[in-house]
Amino acid sequence: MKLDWENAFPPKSEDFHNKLVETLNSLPTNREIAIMRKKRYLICVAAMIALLGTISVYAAVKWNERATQHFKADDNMQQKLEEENYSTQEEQSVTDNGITVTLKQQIQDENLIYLLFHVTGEELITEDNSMKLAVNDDSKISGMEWGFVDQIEQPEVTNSRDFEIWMQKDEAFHSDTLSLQFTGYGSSAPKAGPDVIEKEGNWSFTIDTKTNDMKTYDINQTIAIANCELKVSKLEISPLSYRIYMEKDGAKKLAQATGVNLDQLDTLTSLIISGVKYDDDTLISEATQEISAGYQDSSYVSNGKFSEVIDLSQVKSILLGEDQVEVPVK
Amino acid sequence: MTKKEFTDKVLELEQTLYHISKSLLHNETDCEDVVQEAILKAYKNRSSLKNLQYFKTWLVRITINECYNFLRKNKNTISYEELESVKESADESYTDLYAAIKKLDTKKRLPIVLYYIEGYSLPEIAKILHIPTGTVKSRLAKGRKEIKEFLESEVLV
Repeated sequence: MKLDWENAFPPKSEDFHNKLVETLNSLPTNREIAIMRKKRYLICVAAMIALLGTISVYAAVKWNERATQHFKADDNMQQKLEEENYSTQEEQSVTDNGITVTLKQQIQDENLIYLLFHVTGEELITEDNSMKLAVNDDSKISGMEWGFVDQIEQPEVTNSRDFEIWMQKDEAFHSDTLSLQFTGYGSSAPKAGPDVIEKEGNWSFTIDTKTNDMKTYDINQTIAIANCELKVSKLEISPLSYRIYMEKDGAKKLAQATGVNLDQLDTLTSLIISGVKYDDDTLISEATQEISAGYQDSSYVSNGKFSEVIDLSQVKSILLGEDQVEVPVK
Repeated sequence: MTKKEFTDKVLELEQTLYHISKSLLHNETDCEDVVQEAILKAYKNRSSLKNLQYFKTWLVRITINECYNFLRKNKNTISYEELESVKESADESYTDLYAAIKKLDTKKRLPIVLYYIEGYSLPEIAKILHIPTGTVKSRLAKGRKEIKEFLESEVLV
């Protein structure tokens, strides 16, 4: 008996299609950042500490598994990044209103900050729960995403769950500390609306944001992509992320030639770092995730995070786009 | 991932999302609602997806979880629409093969749909359903056998 699998299911209805399209159209373009921009809090750290139940600080050594997954650092790189101030594991723990929030780890450079928290409550915590939070001076932060780890990354549901925050530092960010305050615990709204706060409280943390400067290479080389010539002028790089500066006019020509419209959320994928080559020709491919990109004065700047930590002492060249156009940095 | 990239990828998967929801739920409105919920959840958590090449697997898993959530929440209720849908299926608007697939328990139904309808490989299904590849194989074999028996009995009737 031959079965016609291809036509087994009824065709999808027009209503199904319309609702799916409607849902996609209703998605916010950058909801988290918009929320951040609306709120400005001034935090008196001392006063907050007085309100808190308990605070404890101690140091750990090996990275948390979740941080290791995000940055793919082996033991040697973890040690190195710890020594070079990119990673800190000084735990801070705050309890209020039955909820304990523990800062487990922070990883950062001049460009981004990753914070891993562990939240423990009296009831089960799922990915649908949420924490309301604020940063003391959010003008220093140009982008931010946060939330409980989803059920795919953390399938087990208990009264504890990891909570992650990713921040992109603004170029004007020069502070040595950042005050972060959670003010509520609750549930995410079902349709991307405001979260429902079930427990209010004060869980405040002072984040040490001192880190090493990114290493700057003056490149000044002209490359050809899609029959367009453009000059790569500068690369700023850390083990975690990069900023690459290219001549604006060349980038514009390339965008035009490849049908990319940056105003319509398109991405110039051919200018994203797609690989890093070491001195011994080891290739770290699929190396980056672009965080932001756009025109700045006379440059086009692409700002991204490496998908695995890079050993700066070994970098020979970077590769751009799917064609992996090689740009020597040394 | 930008909104446009996300939107394009979801549109590519529209048929798959429909099949997944339709294999676990019955009435059309529930499928629409659950897929909407899955899309919103996926978009909100898109930063947790480390590698875009797993987008399809990731979204399918979220959709399956949302279907289960829906079934858990609504296990004691049956809507008017659903009753109407049941009547509709009795009116033979669906194929015999679809009816046979729907007769399977979900443990066998999902591997059958993912493998035969959506073309996933055994390791991919194992990853989506969090079960060993061997278990996927055995559920496929049992599912095929039950479908065959059901269809043969239908012919006899």
